Amino acid sequence: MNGQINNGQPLLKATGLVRHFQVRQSKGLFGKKAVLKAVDDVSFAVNRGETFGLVGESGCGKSTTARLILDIDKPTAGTVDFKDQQISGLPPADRRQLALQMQYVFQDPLGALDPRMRIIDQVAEPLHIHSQASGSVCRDKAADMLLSLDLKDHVFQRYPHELSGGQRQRVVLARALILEPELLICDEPISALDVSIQAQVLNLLTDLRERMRLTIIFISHDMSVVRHTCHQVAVMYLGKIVELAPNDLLFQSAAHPYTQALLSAVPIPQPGLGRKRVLLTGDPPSPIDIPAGCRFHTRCRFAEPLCSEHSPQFKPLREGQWVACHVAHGDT
Amino acid sequence: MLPKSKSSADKEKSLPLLQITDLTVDFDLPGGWVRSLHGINLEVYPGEILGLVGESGCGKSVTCMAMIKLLGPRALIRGQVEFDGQDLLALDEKALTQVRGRDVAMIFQDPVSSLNPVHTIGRQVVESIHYNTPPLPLNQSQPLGEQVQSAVEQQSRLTGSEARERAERLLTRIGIPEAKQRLQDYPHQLSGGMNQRAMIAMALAGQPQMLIADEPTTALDVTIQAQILELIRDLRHEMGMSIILVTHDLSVVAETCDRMAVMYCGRIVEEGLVQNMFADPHHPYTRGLLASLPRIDQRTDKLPTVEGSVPAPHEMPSGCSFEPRCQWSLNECRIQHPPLISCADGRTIACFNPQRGAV
Repeated sequence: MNGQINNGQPLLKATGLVRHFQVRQSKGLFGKKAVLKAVDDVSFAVNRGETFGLVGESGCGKSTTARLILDIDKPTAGTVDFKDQQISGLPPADRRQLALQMQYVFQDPLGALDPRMRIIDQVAEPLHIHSQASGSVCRDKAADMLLSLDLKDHVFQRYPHELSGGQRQRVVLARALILEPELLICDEPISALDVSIQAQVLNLLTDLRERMRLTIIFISHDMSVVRHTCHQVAVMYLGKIVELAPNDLLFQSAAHPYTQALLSAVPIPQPGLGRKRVLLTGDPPSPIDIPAGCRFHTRCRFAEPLCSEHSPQFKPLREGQWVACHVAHGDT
Repeated sequence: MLPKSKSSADKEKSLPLLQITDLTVDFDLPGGWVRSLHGINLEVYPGEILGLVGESGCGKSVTCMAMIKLLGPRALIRGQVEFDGQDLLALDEKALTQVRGRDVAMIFQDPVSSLNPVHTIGRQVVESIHYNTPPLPLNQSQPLGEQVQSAVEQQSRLTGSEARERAERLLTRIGIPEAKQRLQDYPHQLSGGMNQRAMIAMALAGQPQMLIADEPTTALDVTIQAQILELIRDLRHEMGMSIILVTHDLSVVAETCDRMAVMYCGRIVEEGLVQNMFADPHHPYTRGLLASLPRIDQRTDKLPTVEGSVPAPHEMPSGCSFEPRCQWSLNECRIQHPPLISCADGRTIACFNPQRGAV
């Protein structure tokens, strides 16, 4: 799992992605308008066959970024290139072709499945829509897919509510994979699952990536899970990527103070470790009222005067590790 | 990091603050009676933090709610819950109301649970006491200050400015900046972490001897979780409270608790000091859970897993409930559920074929 599999063309490239939402700060038709900067100038590239982790706390813009990639939501600015083809602004027919190659897996499997449709039909449905194949052919393929995800044939005719959480997530995965996509975006795929099931689904994802030559964008707030699944990890804070690095580099020598704090806040299942904790004080600022300069300076223990004046550049610190921090780069 | 508390050191000497004996809970559901707890035995000693862990549906929350009879009329609770010398299950509603909040306080996972916004908090609180629902969830349409204040008033019989002052001190202690201004805020104006702090402040208003924290950090971000756990640890020392921390997160237990009890399908399968349990889990389920945890300080290509999933209530095996998923099961495991047996290091375990050695 280590290292880069392919240094050639990235499968997906996001350049300067921006998504602003118009919100009203006070209620009513004439309430004061404000701009919520959900995603603010995010750029990254995802290599073929790798798992790319997008981590951060709630509200940092992870899911919005994923929606922009899939073109579910239109970016305010910036572009997404998939296999050297720009996604935004494509005619609907081409867009549909692209959709075949990108699939999305949501956090809550029960919410993502149709409660009144049998499992086998749900998994076959995307094939129905995107191919001319007959119903029985689609269902055969769906059955194969379900079997390959370790689901037994006695669940095929059941409804979602009759399955356990882990089984449901496998069904969602089967439905996403039935079109043989190249890119799978998993938005918190295991956080709704029980502890003993999480490991099963994580292993399954790793397995599928190798078997189906998938590229995965893995969105999570759980750093321990990311540690085990991802090749590259991007840490987001208030709509910006603050650090991007290969897995080992990020977890062993994080350079951004936010990443360091995030890592040190993660509990380790070993009593009496006596770790020194970097406790962050306070809450993240509101994305409507983003602090000037570096967005993290209000909670940063290394903050210098410069940090509240100028936004730090996102640039490489060493091979493969990109950081947006004045202190890490020694600008101060 | 993990304080070797006095409680675990002189566990043998001190009497338990809470002693649960053979607690059984059945629910009257449309499809018939379903047994949710199969005879729980558990002690909590003064000043200790006990972690109650298990997967969803294993009965952790039911155990806590049953202790102070918060389960409502559809639950049949049997057994004994001896708290500070009195059996809570034998108390009538009126006497229980005295215990809840004042002696035993509880905080829940989601601090902003919605109440009926068209009724005053006073009316709703009275109602909730009547109907055994959890006391004092935050009300969206009532300023936080008034809610904390009314909790303080209710539990300490203070009035007006005195209570307000105490509420302010409490909020300051709990780590809410500018407490005086925050008292005027509504829950929706505060973040999840701040709301959870306010909940803790309300729970502490009656200076309880025991705090039941049911997944207090599950809805929070990891950096906020670290803050809240730190706060809970500090408060334990400061106020000498016993705490039951209900969680599904074993890492949280490792960093916070003195003792832990692992539950599976309505039974405690293993219980003991956190150090011993993590170093050398005996029960196959505990072993499986611990092994399957992804760790931030290590990296493996493949995580060990506990195969299968929790059986549904109506397809519970007749023997040990973990037997279908257990790789060390014996013949007798299929026939009867193993009894809880005490081991040398003070732990108890329910298994016919316990395993030893590091995971």
